Amino acid sequence: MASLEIRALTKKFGDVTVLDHIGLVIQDGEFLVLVGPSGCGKSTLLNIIAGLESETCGEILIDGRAVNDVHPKDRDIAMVFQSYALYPNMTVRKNITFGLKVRNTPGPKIEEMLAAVSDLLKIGSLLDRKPAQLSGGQRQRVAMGRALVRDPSIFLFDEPLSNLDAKLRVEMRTEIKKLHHRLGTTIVYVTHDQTEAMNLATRIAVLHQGRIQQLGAPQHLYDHPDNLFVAGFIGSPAMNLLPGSLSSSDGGLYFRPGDGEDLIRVDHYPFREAPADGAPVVFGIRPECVTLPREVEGQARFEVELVAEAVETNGFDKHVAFAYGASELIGRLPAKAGLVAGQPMRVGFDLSGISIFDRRSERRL
Amino acid sequence: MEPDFSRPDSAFAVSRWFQANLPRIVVAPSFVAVMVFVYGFIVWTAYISMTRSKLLPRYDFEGFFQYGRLWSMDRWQVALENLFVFSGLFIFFCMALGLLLAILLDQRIRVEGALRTIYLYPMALSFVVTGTAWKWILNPGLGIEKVVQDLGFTDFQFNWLVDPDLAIYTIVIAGVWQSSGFVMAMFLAGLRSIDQEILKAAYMDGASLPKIYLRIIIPSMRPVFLSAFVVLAHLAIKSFDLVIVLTRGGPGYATDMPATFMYAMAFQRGRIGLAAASATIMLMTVMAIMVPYLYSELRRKRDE
Repeated sequence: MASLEIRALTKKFGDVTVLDHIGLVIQDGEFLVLVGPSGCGKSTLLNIIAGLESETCGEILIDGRAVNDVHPKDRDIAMVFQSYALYPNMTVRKNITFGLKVRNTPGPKIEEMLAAVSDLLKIGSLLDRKPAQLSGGQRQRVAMGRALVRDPSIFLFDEPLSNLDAKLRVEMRTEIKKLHHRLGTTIVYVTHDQTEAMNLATRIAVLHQGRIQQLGAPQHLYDHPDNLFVAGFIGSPAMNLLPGSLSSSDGGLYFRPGDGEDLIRVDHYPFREAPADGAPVVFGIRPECVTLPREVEGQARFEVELVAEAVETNGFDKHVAFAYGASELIGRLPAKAGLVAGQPMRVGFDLSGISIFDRRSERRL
Repeated sequence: MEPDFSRPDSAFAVSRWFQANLPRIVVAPSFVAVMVFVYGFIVWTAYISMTRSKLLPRYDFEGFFQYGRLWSMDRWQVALENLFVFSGLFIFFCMALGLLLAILLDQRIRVEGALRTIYLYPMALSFVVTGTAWKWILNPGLGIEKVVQDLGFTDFQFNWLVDPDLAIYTIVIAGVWQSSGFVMAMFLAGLRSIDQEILKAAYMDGASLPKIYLRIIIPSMRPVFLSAFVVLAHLAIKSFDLVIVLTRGGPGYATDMPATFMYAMAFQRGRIGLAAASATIMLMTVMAIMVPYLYSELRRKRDE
């Protein structure tokens, strides 16, 4: 177990800056998920932590010790790869024990560690098979076993679930989570799937264009996205983002979407700084806050008549696309809500959890 | 395709039959040709080897008379010995050199494309060209020996080409020069097909680069080794042109190979029966090596 600190880490490929002054402190036992769209530099960051790629500048500290010039094998880090990267010519047993043998671990100790790991991951019956004879989920387990057996102080996961089918992915996700609970090892986990990030992380770092857009607990990122990118990236279906402006009248502060006539009262919104009247903003509201009027509790509410353009049922609720001025608004309505596509209906906005962003800086107001 | 119901049934049936059998019809001529000219003549040759055919084939069955004569000939013994020396060294050095070059080229070096082409280029030449070039290079009066002697080292000797005991190794040199680049290309493709993440994983497991190659990469390239072996083995066994051009089987018959022996018997000495017997022995030699190897490899593949 160990803490990990990254200081002002920059990586350039020629003129292209892939990582731009990344700073991160990961506490001992934390499960940090690096999430971002493809090409945001998250895998590069992971490879640099592992020592498989070199940084352009910056520092990496494990337990306060700079490891920039330490060979990957001496960093006490284990990594699970997207393609599992099992050695195709070796049996599961040899795959798992290869790292120990290379490090001249004594034989009885190897057997002991192998037994512990195969017990933990329930792969005891697979030990004499070759990787080609395993299913995707089994390979995933073996890859994790190979990382676990060395008992490293930090685990790195590079999109480990993206090659599995949907059902297996959910299963393995739970298992990784359980494993983290049991072992308490520091984990850095890379994924492009925000659901995976939300489910697994104790903290999430959203990476975009080589910068950390926001770092925080999953719920915090969901409720208080720091900027438009995070707002749009975290959550599925994505947060509704309506461009418009702020205006004060009758002693209240209102949001006026686009060039519409509606005025949505936003007095209660905890602005970080007092907004200017008429300021161009983006109004963000989660789909679950766009629902039937009777579902909305509390004072901060708004009602409007909208036309449902498309309805998607998924059993426990319905995702409904409404046309709202020039924008589209996704709402989540109870499964029982009787509604017909193309018909106007009353829709209620729960305004207690809205986000408001400056349209120019794209930052949260 | 939609069936055309407006046509009479018989025409429809014919077109259906053609559709179903077109692949077989297309393949049939070459299949027949292969059956006759390859397998048919193998059988014919095997039969001829059991007769007393001399200049012209005769069809009276005589049993294994020709084989007895063949095995009592010193020239045949030399040819067989040469075959084993040549193919053993040729395959070994081609593979070793090819693998070494491939590993070196795989280190993401600059101008890799150009180097790859340079190493692969000899394969574009015919063995006749290779043989001629090496004949000049190895000729004591023209090539290396003369150049070094002209430089002042008058005691220098490099006359393998005319030494009955060493001439066979000149054929190995020329053959390796020609074919190792091709083997390199095969190995390089094999190396490239290995997932880079496997290397990263092994690296993090703490394995050094030589260990990664020795323990993981080379063992997982088994299919490439098989392909390279098959290609090289058949090049070695049918090596005829290289020997003819480089040494003509000489000095004397010191560098004779079964293929040149057979050619000499069939077309120069007028002993078709003996030539057929040697051809049959060659076929059986190839089969003795290849069949078990292929069988074990294919069975392993099915098991996996």
